[in-house]
Amino acid sequence: MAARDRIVRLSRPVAVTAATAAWVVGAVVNDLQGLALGASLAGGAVLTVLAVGLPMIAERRARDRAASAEQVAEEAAARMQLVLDDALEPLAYLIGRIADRAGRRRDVRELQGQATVVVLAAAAEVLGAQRLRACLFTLAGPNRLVPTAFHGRAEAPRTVFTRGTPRGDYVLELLARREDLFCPDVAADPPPGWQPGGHQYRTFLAVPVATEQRAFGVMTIDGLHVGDLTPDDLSAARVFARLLAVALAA
Amino acid sequence: MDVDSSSNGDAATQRRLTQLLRDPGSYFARARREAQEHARRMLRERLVSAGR
Repeated sequence: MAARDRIVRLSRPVAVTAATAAWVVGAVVNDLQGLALGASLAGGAVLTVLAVGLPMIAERRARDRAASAEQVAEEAAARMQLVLDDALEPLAYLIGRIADRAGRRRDVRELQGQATVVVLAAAAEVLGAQRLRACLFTLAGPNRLVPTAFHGRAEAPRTVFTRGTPRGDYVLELLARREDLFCPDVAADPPPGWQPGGHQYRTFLAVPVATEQRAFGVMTIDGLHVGDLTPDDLSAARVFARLLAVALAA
Repeated sequence: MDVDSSSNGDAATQRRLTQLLRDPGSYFARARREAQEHARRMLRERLVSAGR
């Protein structure tokens, strides 16, 4: 690789020299003088710049594109490792412990609390951009979702979703249908019943925390800026929320 | 392939879980840093072996 780099580096001055020599030799051979010589020199110089400069610009662009692709690949690999090794593996281990203690209610409740901490922390720290917040809204009876835990930006959620209000009906229906919601920009396309104002976030997603048979609540993740969350984050959030539901169902 | 038995097994996972529960912010900050370094190293190795 080093030898090839050296050849590429040497080829540039060689190319410039060859291109320059071509029009200098041409001018000398044709014995040009005065205006003709001036025009030949100027034209030759411009053509040399074009002949050498344009490939160099193309090469620079190709190098930049390769560097960007490498960076994207690096970030994707790092994210994959973070989700699998540092978030899902400890969570799967914890769910195994819950399963092992199925008969001991007190132990199970404590481990379920730990699973909630792990899922919310992973959702806020591993997905999307920096400074996310993950919140868990738990069913308090069939008609209310209340905030019970959160992780991330130091701002506890306060919203209570109650059936009979537009946004309460909307979120409870999402949960009943086990559907998720991704809102890329609450200012541009707010969900039903959205009230602008005191909210300190611009984008959010919501996923059901439920098994096929039992609903526990809804997990939301929000970010301060448009683009902080993507549809890819929604898929990962669904996995985290489903695993939390499995832990809570024990 | 290198085998690192200190980074796997239930004991190692339990240790990581304890760290995660104690201070999730620090745990994921360190994990993010290590994942980035690991990814950079792996990518570089793959590019070298691919002749780039």
